[in-house]
Amino acid sequence: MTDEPADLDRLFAILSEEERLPDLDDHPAPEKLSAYQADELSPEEDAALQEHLAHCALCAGLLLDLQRFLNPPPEDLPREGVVDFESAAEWRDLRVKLQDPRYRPMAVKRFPLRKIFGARTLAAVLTLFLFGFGGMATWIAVLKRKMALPITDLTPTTVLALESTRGPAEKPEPTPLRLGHVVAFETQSSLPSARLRLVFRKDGTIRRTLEAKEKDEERIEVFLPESFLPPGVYKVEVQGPEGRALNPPKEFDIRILQ
Amino acid sequence: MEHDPILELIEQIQKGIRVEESSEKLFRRFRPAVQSFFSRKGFTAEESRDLTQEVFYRVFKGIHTFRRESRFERWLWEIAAHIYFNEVRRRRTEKRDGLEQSLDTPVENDDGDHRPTTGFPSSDPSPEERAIQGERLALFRAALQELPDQMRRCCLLRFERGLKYQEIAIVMKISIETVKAHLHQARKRLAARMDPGGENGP
Repeated sequence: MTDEPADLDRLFAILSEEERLPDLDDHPAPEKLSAYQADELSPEEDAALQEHLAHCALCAGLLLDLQRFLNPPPEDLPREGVVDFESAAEWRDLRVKLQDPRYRPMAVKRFPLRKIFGARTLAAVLTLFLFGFGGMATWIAVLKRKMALPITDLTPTTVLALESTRGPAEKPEPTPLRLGHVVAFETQSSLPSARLRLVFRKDGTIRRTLEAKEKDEERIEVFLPESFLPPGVYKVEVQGPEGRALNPPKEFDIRILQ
Repeated sequence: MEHDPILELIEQIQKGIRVEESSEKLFRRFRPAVQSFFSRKGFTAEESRDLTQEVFYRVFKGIHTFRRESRFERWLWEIAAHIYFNEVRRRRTEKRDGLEQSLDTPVENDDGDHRPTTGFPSSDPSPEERAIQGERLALFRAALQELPDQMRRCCLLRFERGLKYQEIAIVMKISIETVKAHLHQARKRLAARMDPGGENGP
């Protein structure tokens, strides 16, 4: 070999430097490489694959690996008569993975924060956030209502009897009422246990309306704040939810004091 | 094929006979080969262990699809190769360093005389030298193309990829003697083509 031009090796080296590895998507599938090794390809496919192998160190290397799988050297075989603790530990890990439906293959360590950014974790965090947000909003709403209607804290309770407004012969005096109190309307079961609407009229004009709910079958309690209405005489109409046809509204008068 | 103990193990697993015991035997038998495969590709010991687990996870999850018409080792290698490709692809996507081991890296020269040298000479060539070198390179490429296909491929695997004679024989599916003959002939023809009037010509 010493009688060859000295630059043959150098020219090969330059070609090698210039040659680029084929793109990863341009490699034949492993099944095709193993079919090539097993002489299962057509002559044309065989020649094309040989040409690829001549230019592709990656696939040539894989083919050598296949050969090594088929004819393993001693170091690729379990050692006879030696207790292989590593294999035992690895087998235990694998068994756990095989029995765990949540295990995903390709769970090779992607990057250190991989677990935090997992889709499931993200979903859990979002759910917690939404639930937390919803819970907080509900709590604030309840708090607001409590602050606006401190029913239980307020005394005394003024009780207005609706039935007292009945009877055309009687024209009772308007019931005096001081604002800032809880007002209870005795309905005496004449209205269904549902949400009711109170309409406060003066001179035929609606001045305020109020939604209330029967506390039990005979009583409605609402809190009328001090700024609810200016002093004066008002007609209060209590409307049931089914409308006027089924539940004719009850009326009575009140006098709001200074 | 009928008396292959590996295929017998797989048959037992597929039939649900002593699945646990047979699976463990299969795992213990092939784990060193698979882990060594990933280690040779440049993965760390921990990465190789993870990838090996992944290979066997797929093996045991899909063992019922394995038809005992070819060797289990071939099927196992195909799975390992797929996982290797996927991992290299994924790492490239993540813009990390590729892990494929170049076969051009220097290896011990125990069965051949000529190993590729690396790169250009240290001093930059002058424009005139570059022009001459470009011409010689074009001539060399043409000379290579004139070689018979199998001879040319053997040359590329040997002098560009740096494979050993035995490795070329495996990749090209020819005997080692044929590889040596091809390489000897190729060098003679290339030398004659590159130095037609010289004393070293044919």
